[in-house]
Amino acid sequence: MQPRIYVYGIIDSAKGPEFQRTDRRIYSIAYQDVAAVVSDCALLEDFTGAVEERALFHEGVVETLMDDFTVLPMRLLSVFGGREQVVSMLCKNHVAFKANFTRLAQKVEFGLKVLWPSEKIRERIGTNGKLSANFSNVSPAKAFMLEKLEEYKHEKAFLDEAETLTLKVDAFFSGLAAEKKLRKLQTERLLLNASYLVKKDVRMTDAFDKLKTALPELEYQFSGPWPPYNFIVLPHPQNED
Amino acid sequence: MNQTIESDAPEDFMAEIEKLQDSLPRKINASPENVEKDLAKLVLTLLELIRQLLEKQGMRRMDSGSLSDVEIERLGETFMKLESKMKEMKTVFGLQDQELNLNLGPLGNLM
Repeated sequence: MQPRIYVYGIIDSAKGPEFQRTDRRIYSIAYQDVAAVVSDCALLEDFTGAVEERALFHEGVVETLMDDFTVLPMRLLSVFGGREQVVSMLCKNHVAFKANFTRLAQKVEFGLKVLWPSEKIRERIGTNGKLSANFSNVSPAKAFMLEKLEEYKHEKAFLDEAETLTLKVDAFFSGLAAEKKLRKLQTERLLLNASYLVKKDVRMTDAFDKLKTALPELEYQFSGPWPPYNFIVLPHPQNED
Repeated sequence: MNQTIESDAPEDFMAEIEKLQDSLPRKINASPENVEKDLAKLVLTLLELIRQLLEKQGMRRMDSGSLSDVEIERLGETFMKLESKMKEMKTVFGLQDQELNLNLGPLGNLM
């Protein structure tokens, strides 16, 4: 019975690498000018335990590939029934994979998360449940509207501050990036969760150092280079006739 | 390739990421025992969205000065009644404010 195939990523070459990593042989399965980088896994292999260990192993293989190839990383625990299924997957998605390789060639991803002092910002704007005016001399309906208007203005001021600061942060990187994804105010404190797609030779750490110097009041989490996890574009699966 | 990973206060970032991941169930957890409540949750979420959108539109118009005093009064009465009715319906179905939301995956939360 043939083993199942664990797929780490797709590379832009039919001649993939072959190497040993701990007890696993990493090799490739080609289709035309692309290949899936894989290892065998036992038919009854248990994937339920030690997820962190598996994630680190998976990431380690993908990072090794990044040195020599453009990689479209597969999701953790992408397992296929056998070689034929892997080739079928490569065939079905070949056009989409090639389009991604063209876009993502020689590019890597950097991530930036920014925390801001949202409570202090709100205090300064004045939205901690303290209304700035007394609405006792108007009708209940008008008082309701005036209270809502005050909340609306304060929320607008808060969002405007967030937008202004986000633009300032982004200005340090947007000129360097081929593409970017900005997720703004995902929580009250998480001002920005950004992914930047840049050419491999771009000095993102220099830009980050300048950002830290310019805006020291913010907290940062900066990482990279990574494979372009957030910039792969694949069509939605079609129902087969 | 050597990765750079720099982080101020990693525990602060972990806390914010956990808020994102734990905030809402990703699927409507309908079961025979609580299908009525789950359906109510869905309907009230959509109603709450519409109510908030209408309120926001009213505020924009008020902020821009395009509402007369009479219109402010009428809108105020309407919005007060809507808000009161929503509170009543939430109580009837035993729903909290934070339960009225939908996770739209990559698009974030509905509200």
